[in-house]
Amino acid sequence: MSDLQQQAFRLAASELGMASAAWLFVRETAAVAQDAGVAALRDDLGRAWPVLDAVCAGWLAGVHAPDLALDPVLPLLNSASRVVLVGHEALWVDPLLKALPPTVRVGLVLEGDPQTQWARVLANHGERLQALSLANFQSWAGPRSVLLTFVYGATESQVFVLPAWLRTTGPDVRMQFRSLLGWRILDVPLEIYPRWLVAADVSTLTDLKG
Amino acid sequence: MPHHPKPHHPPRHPPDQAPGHAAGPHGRGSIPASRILAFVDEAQLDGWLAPLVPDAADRAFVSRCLVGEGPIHHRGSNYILLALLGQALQAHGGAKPTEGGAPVPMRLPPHLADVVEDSHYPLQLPLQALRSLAGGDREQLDAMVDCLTDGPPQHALANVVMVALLQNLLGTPPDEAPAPGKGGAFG
Repeated sequence: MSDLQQQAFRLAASELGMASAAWLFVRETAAVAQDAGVAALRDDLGRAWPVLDAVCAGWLAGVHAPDLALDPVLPLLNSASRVVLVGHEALWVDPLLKALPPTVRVGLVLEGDPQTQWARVLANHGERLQALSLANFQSWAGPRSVLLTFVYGATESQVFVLPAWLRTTGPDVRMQFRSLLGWRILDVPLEIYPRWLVAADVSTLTDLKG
Repeated sequence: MPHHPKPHHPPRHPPDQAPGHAAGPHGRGSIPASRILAFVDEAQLDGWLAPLVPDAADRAFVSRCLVGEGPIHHRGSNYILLALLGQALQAHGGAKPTEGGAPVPMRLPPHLADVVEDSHYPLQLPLQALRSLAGGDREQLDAMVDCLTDGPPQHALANVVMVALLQNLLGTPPDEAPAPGKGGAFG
């Protein structure tokens, strides 16, 4: 059972994002098996999936909905001409795409779990989200361009982000984008080793919001 | 001829107190990285840049490239030189906006050069003072522009801001002529 759960969660996480998949699994589990089910889910999958572990912990502590507020990030994005997403979280990207002016182009760097079916990811957003790669995302650079990634936890000096963030924010790139924005989407401390994520210096971001 | 040794004058500062030679385990560079940029006043820099880069978000981007990114000695040096120029200009009424000039390109990978829509920094290199320096020689002006805008952004942008401030100091009028490569700097 656990292997099947692992496979199912990995598939969901690769296409929805780890936090989005975690909320989906936790909600569905709670709907069927209440808090005991969420506790069991945490025991089964938490060690392998620290974001799921954190969402389970939050649920059991009374946090029953993700914080999807766009207010912290919209002011930094509305005046942009291009936004390059490094990482994908469907729960947050869906409302963001609806809220941004249509003149703001949004691209996604297709980096992550090698099993990800990117065609399916992009199809969920119609043509609003354009595909970019490590080889060409700088074609969206410019003084009105923003690099945005999702932050899964932060300390005073570090942020937990997807490894792709470190691949896209080298010294050559940092001065080709107006800002490097981290959107903090998980406010629950990561209690276990954050595998799948990396601890990056908070100074890799010019802005941390959320 | 009798030898008259020069009278001995003690150094104004003992060698171990001379600026730039602070004693430390590694000699030069002994000031900790956490303190070496303590003199950088970003609000002051923002004020000097405001006439040249009116948009606040653009200015924050330029300011980050000047003093927020790259090797620490470049960041500090950029601030010092711009601060001294800013102070000099303040004594002459402050900087005035420069208009037109040569674009300052981002150094993007060559294979993307043809597909990037907006690959220039949000300020231009004013040309009036350079045009005068080049003495009417178009190729020399082009070479000056090339030298000033090439290389890492923290160099290129500092060059551009310094030229803009120097042009202000020299009292040359705002630049209105086409940029090199865009119709001729000398008409």
